[in-house]
Amino acid sequence: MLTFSIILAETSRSLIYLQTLIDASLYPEQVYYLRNNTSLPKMGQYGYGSVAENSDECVRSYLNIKQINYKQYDHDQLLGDEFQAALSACASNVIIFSGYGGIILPKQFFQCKKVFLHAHGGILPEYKGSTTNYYSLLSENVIGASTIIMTEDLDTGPILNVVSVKNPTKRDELDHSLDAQLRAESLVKTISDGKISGENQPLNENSHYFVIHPVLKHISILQVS
Amino acid sequence: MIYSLSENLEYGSRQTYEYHPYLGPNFLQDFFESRSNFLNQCNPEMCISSFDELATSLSKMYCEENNSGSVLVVLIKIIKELNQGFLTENNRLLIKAFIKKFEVSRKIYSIYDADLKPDKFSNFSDEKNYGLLSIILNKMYQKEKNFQFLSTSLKINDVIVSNNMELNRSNFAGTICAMAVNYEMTAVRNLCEKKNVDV
Repeated sequence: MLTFSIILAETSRSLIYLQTLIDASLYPEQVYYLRNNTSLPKMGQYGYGSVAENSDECVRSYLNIKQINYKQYDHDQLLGDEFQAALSACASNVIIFSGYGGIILPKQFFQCKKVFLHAHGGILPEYKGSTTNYYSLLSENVIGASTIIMTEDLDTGPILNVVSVKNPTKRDELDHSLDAQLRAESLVKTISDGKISGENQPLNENSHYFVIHPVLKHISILQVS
Repeated sequence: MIYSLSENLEYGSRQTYEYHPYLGPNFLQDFFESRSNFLNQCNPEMCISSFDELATSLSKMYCEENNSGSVLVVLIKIIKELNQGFLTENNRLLIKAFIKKFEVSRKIYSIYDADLKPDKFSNFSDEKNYGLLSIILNKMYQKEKNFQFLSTSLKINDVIVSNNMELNRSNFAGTICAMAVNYEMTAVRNLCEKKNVDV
């Protein structure tokens, strides 16, 4: 098992990561909590408000209940020296990054000599990009999540673990809870396995996907296998 | 009316598809209704019925065009190739590049330089380019069953349908756009049937 720390955001995804890791008795050495002090969208803000609207309170409450210490930063400190120094001084070599949707890890993070883990929503290396689980549902009736080591290029780092579910139920919950649960499961397996090396993914332009059109998203949810 | 993705989309305006909520089966019915309304306003006498007919018409109408930076010329070449049952690697890469260009900017400029940077003096409102790229992507989807092609084709057609009022359905551009929407509706209907989705 790896020792690790985690960067969390005010999102329901971060909350699910935290809960799933703790349920598996995997406690982070250090938690860096990024407060949303800008207009960044919270996960699930579109159409799933009831789950996400109090994620700030939920994440912090959960940390308090579990008596896990955390350092709080504003999101716009992400690029600042203070946060960089804190990460460099972190006791863990491995740090899980769970930031806000659409926010990628700033390049200077890679100077911290840490291994940053990201759980991608989709099966790698076949499905890089955005909303890929809807594409894999249409093509193969399968969804998944992959833990990778983050590199400066998006979704191209070594793959450490892939989990998948064939013919999933509750597809209409994929955007929010189901996707996050799969990602969390993949992270748990990675941390439990304790292996943080792998080969870089092959470069394949054919496997990069852009946000799926809502018509196809609806068909992927409504399809009867 | 749930389908609002093709409303108020001027050429180059930004439609956000991210986090679009699931709205149930009525969403698909409204999609078909919206597209049918568009097609009902098209001139049936200007209809192009097949890919082969499109390739032939384009060859006749644009045989003199030779501007290497013109997107229209590139798209016509790709259509000719696809109609003959092949696609050069270079043109395959260009299709990928056009997908990326459109997905990022929602624009298809009329002229690009050798590095695929848009010519700043060219416009991005030539309906023919949107219609032809949509048809090409649909053809690629039929050929390779890669849903990225169909997804981008749908987004392009949202722009086309949104520009409903400006489109002259009696000219060739209007005919191409109608064909693009027709192709797309057939592809989506076939997919629904294959996936047992009742519409």
